Amino acid sequence: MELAIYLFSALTLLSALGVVFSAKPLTSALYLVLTLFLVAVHFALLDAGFLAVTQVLVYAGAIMVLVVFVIMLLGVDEVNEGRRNIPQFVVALAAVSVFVAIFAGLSYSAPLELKNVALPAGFGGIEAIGAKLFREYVLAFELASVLLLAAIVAAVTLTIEPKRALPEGRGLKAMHKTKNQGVIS
Amino acid sequence: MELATDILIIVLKAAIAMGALLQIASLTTWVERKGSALIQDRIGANRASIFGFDLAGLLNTLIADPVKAITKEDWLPKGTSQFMHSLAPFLAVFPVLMSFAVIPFGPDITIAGKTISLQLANLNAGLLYVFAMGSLAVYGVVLAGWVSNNKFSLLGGLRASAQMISYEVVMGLSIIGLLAVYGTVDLQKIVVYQGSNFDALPIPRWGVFLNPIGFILFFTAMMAETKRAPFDLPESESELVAGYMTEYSGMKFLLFWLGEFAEIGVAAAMITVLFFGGWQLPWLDVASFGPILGGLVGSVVFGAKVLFFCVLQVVIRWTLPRFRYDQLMNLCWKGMLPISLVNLMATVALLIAINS
Amino acid sequence: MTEYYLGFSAVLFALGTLGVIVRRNTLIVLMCIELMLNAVNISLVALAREFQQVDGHIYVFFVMTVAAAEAAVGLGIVIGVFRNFVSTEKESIASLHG
Repeated sequence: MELAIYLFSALTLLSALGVVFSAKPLTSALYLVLTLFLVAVHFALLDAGFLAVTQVLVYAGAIMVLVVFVIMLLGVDEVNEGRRNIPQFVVALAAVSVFVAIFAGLSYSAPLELKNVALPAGFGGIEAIGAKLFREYVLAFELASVLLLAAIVAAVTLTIEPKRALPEGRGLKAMHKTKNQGVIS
Repeated sequence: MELATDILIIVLKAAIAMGALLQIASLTTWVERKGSALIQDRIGANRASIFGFDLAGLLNTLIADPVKAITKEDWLPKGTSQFMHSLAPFLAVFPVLMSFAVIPFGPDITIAGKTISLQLANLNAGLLYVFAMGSLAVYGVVLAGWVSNNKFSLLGGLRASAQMISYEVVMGLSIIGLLAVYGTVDLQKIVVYQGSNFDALPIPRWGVFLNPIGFILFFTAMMAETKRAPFDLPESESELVAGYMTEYSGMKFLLFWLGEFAEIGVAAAMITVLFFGGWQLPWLDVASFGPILGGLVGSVVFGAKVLFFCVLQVVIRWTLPRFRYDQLMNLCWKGMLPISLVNLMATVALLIAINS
Repeated sequence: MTEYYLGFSAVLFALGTLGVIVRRNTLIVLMCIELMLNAVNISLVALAREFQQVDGHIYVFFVMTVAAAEAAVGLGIVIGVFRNFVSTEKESIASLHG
C-alpha cells in the first residue's frame, strides 16, 4: 500500500516537473492532464472515491480540454522563450525551497497519524458527500452556481466579437473593401 | 492462495470484458458494412473471398481489412513528432475501453462457494466513472486534429471537441431525474432495481417507462457524443475528407475506427443498463435461476440487448441525413438542454408528489 | 502518512509557484496555477482522511468549482490579450512600461 503511494507520488512529481519545465504549451498541457489523472489516483488511495471520479470528469475532462482548445485555437504551440533569466530562477527556487522546508517541518512535527481503523462506512462515497453538501453547505452550493453563471457571462463578454457589418454592394469591389479586416479584429 | 485466486478472477473478468467489447466493436463494423449495403440497396464488402466463399462480408471486414491496415506504411506528416502522432489514437481508444469496467453483465454467480460479481469494478459512483472516461475521449480527437499539421484537420478536431463537450452536458442532465428515481449511481444496484414491477401495472420498472423523455435525450446525446450520424460532421466523409483523421493511415486509422465502434458498444451498454433493465428479463427473476445459470442467462440477455442497440445505431446512421454544424450546436444548447432541465424538474416534482 | 501527504502537496505547490514566477508564457502560467490548486486539494483530502470528516471533500468540491470558473475567465483574458498583442508572452503586455 505504501509502495503504491510512493510510486504514484514519484510519477506525479515527474509529470509536475514536465508541466513546469516544458518548452511548448501543448506538451505542458498534456503533462498536466497526466498530473491530474495521477492526483485522482491519489484521491482514490485516500478513500475519496467520488472526488477521484469528479477530478477526472471536471478537471482532466473539461477544464484541460478548454485549455488545449484555446492553445489550438490561437495556434501558439511554439517555443519562443528567448534569453533565460537565471538569477530570477535561482531566487525563486530558493524561496519555494524555504516554503517547502517550513511546511514539511511543521507537518512532520505535528502529532498526526493516519488512523487506519474505524473509517465510517461509505466514507467519501456519493451519499456521504451529498448528505453534507445539501444540508450544511447548501448556501455555499447555491453561491457556487451563481459564481459559475458569472464566470460564463464573463467569459462570453470577454471573447465575443461584435457582428461586423456586411459590405454593401456585390462583386469584387465590395470584397476588396473588407480585405484588410483580418481575423483578429 | 486466496490472493492468487482473487487476482486470477479479476484478470479473467478483465479479459472477458475487454474481449466482449472488442468483439462487439468488430461485429458492429461488419454490421455497418453489410447493413449499410442492405439499406442502400447494394452489395457491400464482397471483394475478399477464398475459393469463392466470402462468408457474407465477414472475410473482408474481419480479416482482409485488419491485415491491410497492419501492413500499411505508417508515415508521419511533416513537422510533427512521432510521439504525439501515436498518442492521439491511443487517447481516443483507451478511455472507451476503460469505461467498460463498471458495466454489470449479470447477477452474482457462485462457483465452489465463492461469490463472483459479473462486474469488473463495483464503484460507488459507477455512472460518473463512465462519464469521466467519456470526457477523456475528447483528447484523442483534438490532438489528432492538431498534430496533422493541416488546417482542415484542425478545424475538424476543434469542431468535434466542441460538439463532444456540449453533448456531455446534456448527457449528464438528462438522466439526473432517472437517478433520483433509482436513488443510486451504482450500476449493479440500478439493474437490480429494474427487476421489480410497477405497483399499478404489471410492467417491469425499466428506465424507459420511468422516464421516456430522458431515454430519447440520452440516446440522442450519446449518439452525438460518439460522433455518429446524424451528428458526424467532424468526420464527414463528403466534406472534410476524413476530418481529424485525414493524416492517419494504416493501423492508427483503424484504432480511431475501433475506438468509435467500441464507443457504440459502450453507448449501447449504457442505454441497456440505465433504461432497459440490463441483464434482467421482464417478469422473470434471472438471479434465481441458479448459481451459475443465472449469470449465464443474464450475460446472454445483456449481450442480446447490447447488440440490438448497436444495430439500431447503425441503422439510424444510414437513414438520417447529416446536421450542419450550427444546427447541431443550436439543437444542443437551445433545444435539448432546456428540455432536459424541464424533464429533470418534472421527474423530481412527480417523485415528491408520489412519495408524500 | 498524513504528514507525508502534506509534505508532498507542499512540493507540488512549490513547483507550481516556481512555474508562475519563472515561465513567460501566460498559458503555462495558468496551468501552473491549476497545479497549485491541485496541491491544495491533495492536502485537504489527506486531512479529511485523517480527521474522518467528509467536510474536507466538500471543500475540494468547491475548490474545483472555483478553479473551473477561474480557468474559463483566465482563458478569456488570454484570448483578449492575444487579439490585441498577437502574443501570449507576459512580457509583451508592456505598453505602460516606463
